[in-house]
Amino acid sequence: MLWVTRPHPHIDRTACAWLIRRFIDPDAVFAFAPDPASAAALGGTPFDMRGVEFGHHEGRCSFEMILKKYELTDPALHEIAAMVHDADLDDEQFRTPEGPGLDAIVRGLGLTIRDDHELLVLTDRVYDGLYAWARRTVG
Amino acid sequence: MAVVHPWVALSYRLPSDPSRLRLAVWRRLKRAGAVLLHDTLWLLPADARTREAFEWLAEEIEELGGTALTFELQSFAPAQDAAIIATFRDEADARYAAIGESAEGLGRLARRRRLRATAIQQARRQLAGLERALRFERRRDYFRAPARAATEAAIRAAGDALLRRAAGAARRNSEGAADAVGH
Repeated sequence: MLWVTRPHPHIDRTACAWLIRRFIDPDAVFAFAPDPASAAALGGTPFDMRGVEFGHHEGRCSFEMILKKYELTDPALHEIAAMVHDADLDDEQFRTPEGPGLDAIVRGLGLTIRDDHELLVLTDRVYDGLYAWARRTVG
Repeated sequence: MAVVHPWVALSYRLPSDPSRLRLAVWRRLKRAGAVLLHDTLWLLPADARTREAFEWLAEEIEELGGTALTFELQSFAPAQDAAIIATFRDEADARYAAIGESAEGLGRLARRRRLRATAIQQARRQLAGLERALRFERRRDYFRAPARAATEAAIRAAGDALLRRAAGAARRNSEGAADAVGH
């Protein structure tokens, strides 16, 4: 299945791509488009775009919306959701120590890797690591 | 080595009425730590997050009936970058200084001869607010402004002083309670 988000992904989009690939759609293919209309033209499911179902709603980030929609209850995923929320929305809701660090790592990776697909390959490994870490804590 | 600094830039126009919309957008830009150049161009150092911040804001400005232009930019001359970075640091310094002064005020309060337990409690709550403000400043301090270290030190000093006073007050309290039992 084709999933579409905006180019130059940061926290929420890189985390959503990982979540989709690992827990929802193992054959996921990602594409980048600037707005929902161009995403629809590609025929993909849009995420983290303005006005789409998997976007920001009621103070939740897109990652949290996807967890809710697919009824993913794995507590380790909810740990990661708190980190992603803090890093993305910067509202200190969960005050996870990992949030600001995750923000710095993904921003820094984006400065050195200009190709968005290549970036997702790398951030997948970052979130794999965070997931293993969270599993040991709450799994 | 001269480092090339890529910037993201936003320029916009909004209807002058109602003025609260203009104020709301202006606040959002200040909140992100963006710097305004020549009254027309808002700048942030380019990364995925700052780019996203301007993308969202540009969309909102257009929804409010305005127009917005977003760019990724590079200066012709490194000296120009140095001047822009100095502006970022000056603005961050002013914000750090305001927090630092409040922290110093709480530090002076902690060293007063007489201080009620409730005043110590209140000061510690205010200090927690300053710590939150400091964390916020650190996140929008893109070029490590010089005043950051002094502000962190002032908050630490005030925290230590208030903690000592709180411990002293708790000790006197428990001694008072022991006396009362003794009588």
